[in-house]
Amino acid sequence: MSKTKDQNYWRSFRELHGSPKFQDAVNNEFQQGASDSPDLEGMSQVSRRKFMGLMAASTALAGTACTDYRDEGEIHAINNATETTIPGKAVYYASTIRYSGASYPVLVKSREGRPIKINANKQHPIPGVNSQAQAFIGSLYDPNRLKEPVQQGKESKWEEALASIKAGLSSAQSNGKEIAIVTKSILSATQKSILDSLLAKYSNAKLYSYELFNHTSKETAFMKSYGTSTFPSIAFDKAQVVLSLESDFLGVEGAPVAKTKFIAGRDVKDSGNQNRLYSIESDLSITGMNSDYRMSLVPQGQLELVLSLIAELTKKGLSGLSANTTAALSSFDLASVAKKYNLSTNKLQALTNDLVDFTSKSIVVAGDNLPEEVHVAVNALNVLLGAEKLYTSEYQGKALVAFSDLTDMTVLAKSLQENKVGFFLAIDANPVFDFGAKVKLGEAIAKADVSVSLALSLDETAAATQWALPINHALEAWGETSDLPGVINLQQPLIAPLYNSRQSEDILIALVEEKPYADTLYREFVKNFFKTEVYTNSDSLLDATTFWHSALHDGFVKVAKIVEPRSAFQETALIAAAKTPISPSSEYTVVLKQSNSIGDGTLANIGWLQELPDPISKVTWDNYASMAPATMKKLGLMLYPNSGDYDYDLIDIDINGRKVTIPAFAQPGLAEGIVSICLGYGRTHGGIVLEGVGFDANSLLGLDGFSPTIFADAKVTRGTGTYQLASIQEHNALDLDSMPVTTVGAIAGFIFAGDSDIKPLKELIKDAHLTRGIVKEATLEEYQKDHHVIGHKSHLPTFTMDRPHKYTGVKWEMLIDQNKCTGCGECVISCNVENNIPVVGKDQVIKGREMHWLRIDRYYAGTPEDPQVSTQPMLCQQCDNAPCENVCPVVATTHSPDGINEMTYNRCVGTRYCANNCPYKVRRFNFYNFRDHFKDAHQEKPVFALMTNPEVTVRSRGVMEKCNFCVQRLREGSAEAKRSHKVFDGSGVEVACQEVCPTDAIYFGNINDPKSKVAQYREHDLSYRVLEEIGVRPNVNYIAKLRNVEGKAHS
Amino acid sequence: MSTETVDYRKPLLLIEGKDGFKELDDCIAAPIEEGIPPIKWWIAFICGPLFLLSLGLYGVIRSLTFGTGEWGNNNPAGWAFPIVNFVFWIGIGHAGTLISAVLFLLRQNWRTAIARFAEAMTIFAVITAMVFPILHTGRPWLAHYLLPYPNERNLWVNFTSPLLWDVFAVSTYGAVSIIFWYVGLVPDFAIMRDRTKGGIRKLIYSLFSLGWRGSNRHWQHYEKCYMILAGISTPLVFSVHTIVSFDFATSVIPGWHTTIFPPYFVAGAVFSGFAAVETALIFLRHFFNMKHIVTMNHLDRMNKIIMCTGMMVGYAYAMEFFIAWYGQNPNEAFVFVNRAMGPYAWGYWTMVSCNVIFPQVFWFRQCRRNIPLMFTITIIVNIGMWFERYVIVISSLHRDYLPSSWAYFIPTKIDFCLMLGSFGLFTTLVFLFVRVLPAIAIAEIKMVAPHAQPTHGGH
Repeated sequence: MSKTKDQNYWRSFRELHGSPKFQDAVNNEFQQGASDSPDLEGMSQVSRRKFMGLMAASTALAGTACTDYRDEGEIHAINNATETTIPGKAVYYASTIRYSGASYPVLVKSREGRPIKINANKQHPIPGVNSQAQAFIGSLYDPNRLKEPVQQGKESKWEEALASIKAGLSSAQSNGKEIAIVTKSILSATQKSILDSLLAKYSNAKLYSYELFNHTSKETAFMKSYGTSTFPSIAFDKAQVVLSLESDFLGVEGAPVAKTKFIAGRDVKDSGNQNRLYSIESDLSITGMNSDYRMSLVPQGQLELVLSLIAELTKKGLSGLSANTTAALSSFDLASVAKKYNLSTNKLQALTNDLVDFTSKSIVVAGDNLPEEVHVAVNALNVLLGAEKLYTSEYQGKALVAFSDLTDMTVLAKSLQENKVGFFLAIDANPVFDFGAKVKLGEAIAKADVSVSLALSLDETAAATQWALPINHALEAWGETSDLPGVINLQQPLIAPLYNSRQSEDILIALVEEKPYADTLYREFVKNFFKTEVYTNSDSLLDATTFWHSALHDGFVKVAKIVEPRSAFQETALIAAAKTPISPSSEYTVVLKQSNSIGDGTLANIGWLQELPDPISKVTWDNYASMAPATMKKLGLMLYPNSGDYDYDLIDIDINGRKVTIPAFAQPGLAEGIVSICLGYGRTHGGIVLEGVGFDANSLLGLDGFSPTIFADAKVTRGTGTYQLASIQEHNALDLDSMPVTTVGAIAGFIFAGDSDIKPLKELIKDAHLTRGIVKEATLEEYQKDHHVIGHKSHLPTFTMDRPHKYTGVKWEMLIDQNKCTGCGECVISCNVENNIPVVGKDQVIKGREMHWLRIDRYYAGTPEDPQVSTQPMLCQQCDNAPCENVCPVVATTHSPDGINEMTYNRCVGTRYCANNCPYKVRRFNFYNFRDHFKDAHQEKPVFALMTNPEVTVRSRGVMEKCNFCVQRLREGSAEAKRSHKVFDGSGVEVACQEVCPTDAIYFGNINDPKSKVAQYREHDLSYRVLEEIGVRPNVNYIAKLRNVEGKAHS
Repeated sequence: MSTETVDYRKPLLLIEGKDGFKELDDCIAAPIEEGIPPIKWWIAFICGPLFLLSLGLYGVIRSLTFGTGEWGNNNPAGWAFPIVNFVFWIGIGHAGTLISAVLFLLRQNWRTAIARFAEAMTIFAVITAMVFPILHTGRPWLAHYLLPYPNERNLWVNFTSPLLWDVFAVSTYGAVSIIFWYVGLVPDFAIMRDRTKGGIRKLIYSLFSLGWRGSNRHWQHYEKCYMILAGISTPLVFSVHTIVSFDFATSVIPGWHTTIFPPYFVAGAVFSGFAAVETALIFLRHFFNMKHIVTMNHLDRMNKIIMCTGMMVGYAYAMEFFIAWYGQNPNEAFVFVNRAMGPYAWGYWTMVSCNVIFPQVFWFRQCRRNIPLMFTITIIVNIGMWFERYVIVISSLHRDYLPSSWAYFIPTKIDFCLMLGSFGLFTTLVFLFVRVLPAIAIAEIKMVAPHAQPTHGGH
């Protein structure tokens, strides 16, 4: 068979007929796109290589971006967030808070651009916050802040305000009138230099910098004694015996670091080395409450006491002062002083023995409110004791400009009245209220041609000035402080100004340098200061920009400590002081002091502070006149209100025509005749919260005092009527003889016990905290004789039918060392802020409905004259066998696998059975929607919502709540561990109360982790649990307090 | 008042005169068939029950609008007036079932005259009581969370909580009481149906009488049924208040945590229940001319029970003190000394004198048969029993373990509104009841009429 050449084989009709589609398919074996070169135009421009590069860069940036994101000069809203912002993850920024003459280095927690909590910056060499610094978070979001410039009560514009300021300044200058500038203490070098240039520019300008509570007398005394006014900070950690004279260095007067250092000497693991604290004071302070020996003495007696102590110790062989000097003091005799002021000779004996035994390890500290001569005498006593060795080379916090006092303010008010002041400017200061109504500064300001107040709120001063201009809050502002030794702190804004406010320094710079206003002026100024002054003087190896960024990141930079030379002690000063006539004790002496809760009154509009109970009296929301029960009886005043009413008798106080009517409160431990009152209350302007709170005792300030805040010769008389004080603790067991007895109770007592004084009940109430074993205490000597002095440990005390659940993973426990707890209450504020705890108001506190998850119980033992005070922080004990859990009908409170007694708010119907069945009474019920109920829904103003911690549910009305060991933090810790593929052992998690405790009295952790401090301390012989005998198996351990009161102090 | 000598060998007459069947029918049905009640009744109804009820409504509205904060409750005293009222009314509800069930089983024929009324009071008291557990919670609108029903949230209730036991105990008691009461009412519904000429009333009575014709079979079944229900009800008399007492007894709070609570609560409940029933009966027999049916002998016997249970309660008071001393638990000892001499001593001694001392007058026959006196005593007893719950709930809570938490509870106006309102609700229901249903079991009373039984004496 032959084939023709052109014979075609065809595979299909399409091929046969030559279809073009078929031809394509034959040519292109693979389908479209499979082998073509890629369509570059249609694809993203990012190459794989570039993509990987970007990923690497952004990962690297994520680690460093937070150091300088803000340094772009602008603050972005969160909806325009940077790439590195992770929603739901908190960011922390270091900054600085200035309050009442001190700066506090802080670490601010921010969520989604909102600052929500202020903690101590623990990287800082001098760390620590106090209640007021923490409460700055509340003043940022205070709905009553000044929001717009206000002229004579009408809203105005910044441009008009600035023009008016400019005109006012120049006309005052040209008319030869005074330009008065009033500020609080100046702690910042940059602020000082701006004000200095303002003063230079306007030669008529005068700066009044003041602080209501300051160390002036201490500093002038130091100047007389040593030729320098720089008072050194004290190495309390090296002191074995401390004598505190009218000083509250563990409370309102002390820097947090002083407390930390002092309390470090009270560790039970080092019980052989416990320090001993003597306290001789007129009022009962936190320091007095924590002292081992306490005596009460009117302030007028302090000078005599110190001088006679010098004489006595010289007699006992201490040398250090020249013979001439000691001869000059020979007329002082400790025994006669003790007799004159009714001081316990036994205690004084112990004191002098200890001081002699522990020379160069003992120190005397005197209170800021004592006059200069006492401080000089105390300096001499310290020389004698060799206590100069405990003066460190570092100075205490110190203002950069000397303070103006009441005298200066009176002069200012006078020149204002006489129309000699052309321009009045108050910068974040409220002199009208602070110096009291008697100075009449408010009326006088009206006489100034132009008066301006740069203020956060429309306070008394801002209400008196023509212009009230809103300034940025500390968390919205730049700043710098140079008041602490060896560091310069930086303050940076965490949030753009919430309102139409400006930074006061920006305004001043614009005025001084005659530049147009810009909100970057001061930032550049501070930056420049760092570049030219700080960086050049530092030995940093970084370049200037990195130096600035790292300073912002850390919140501080270390600089060389300037040690001012101290000459030898000038004994002539002591001789001069000894010649000061001893002021006779007067019948009544008024002692004005700083409130532990609201501080000096500037933060009076923060409900959290107003509702923070006084550590000693447990009174919230008011100030009052504390008096010894004996003084009260002398005046015929009712010591304790009857059960259920909170009415206290009013008294009238009159100091040379300065009068106040105030409720009298019986406070054990006060010296007789002492009337102690907190300042800062009774404000009239500045917000809705402070309205009607307390009594204006600032009006009692005058120039005729024994010291600026102590006034002898006060007239005290019983007033008419009563006033309600909201105390969170009932008076009981305080002075049994005066305890109110109901008629029926008296009859019953008569019938069944033969006396109408209900002795059987009083016996049971007396020292109930000790007899019931709620608070366990021992003396150091008892403990050293028998380590089981508080009883043997039995973690499972009672017979149980069920076998206790074994916690194999993480098991949380807390431990509170009562040797370290001073009872200050800073943990309460921290807990409130962290857990969105509402303020309930005075009426509800009176009803017993405060919402604090953590409270500090205070108990007295001993006599009303010489009380022994015990404090005990009380919070949910997270019982393993929780009595609240089994009674809840709807299973709203349950136990977590790591031992936390949890609340499920959604499920709670509010039967309150759990609260009834809680032996510790730590459950809190939302009787109202307190946010709505308090002061016309003050806490429901939209701005309040910004302050809430998003990790914690805001509880509704009718729901039970309580401490849950900051479960949100624990869960975050475990999630973090999981993300980084670690086994979570509970380390690295801090609860809110623990993180702010200035004395580290609270330990928290996993007891199954032998490394945790809780696990170590809970096995200590002194650890106990409250009400363990009920069998609820609580999980909060307490370390029993050791009182160092017998025998010699230990070395 | 009555000084007649009694021949104790003769059985007492249960109906004293006017004991003909028609006379009894007419007498008992009179308040129902009266038509529009007289103006005096209206004045009494408006000024009494309705006024109190409106106070209560005001209290409820305030509480629901603003929250439990309207009351005096505070931190140590999480429970106060509402729980006091709840326990009080549950206690009042005890007499009814005891009279109708326990006395029925014990063949105490004298119970017939008062059983219906007592049962009605039980039901009304339980209704009144049940308002409080719901109202007292922080979020009453979530009360259904306490019911174990299958739900989409997969949530269940906590069967270890005494409050949940309460839910079952009280609802069971309420349900059984209503059934028992209704079954007893069926023959009377039939009587009322037959007496009613027509209209809507006839229709209603007809519906509820379930076609009762009074046949022999009907009676046979009825009596068996009644007997069984009496048997079911009897344990409930003891269980309800026992379980209510568990709310306190199972807790860890000194003053609550005692084993004596169940019998003590039951005795107290019977005590207060009898007093309450007697107070109401005194009015009933007076205003509706039923003195010959609810006789002095009935009241005499009730007074004896009041005195007896009062002494049981007194024994419990004494025993609590004894155990507090004997147990040597300082916390418990404190609670009791504090009750007697502390800030709430007035409450405690009010309770003791009202419950233990005053009822002692019933040792004397003259006193047991003196209407004004016994009326006063029954009121005093109920004041005392209200205070008993006040003392238990509040004086135990206000000073418990930690002296730091001690506080004093002061009731508010709203607390009083709710308490008075509960009396309003209860009395409103009683007022309506006597106007629409026979307050005395007509069918049953005829059975104890002299001529219903063959006797030696004639007829």
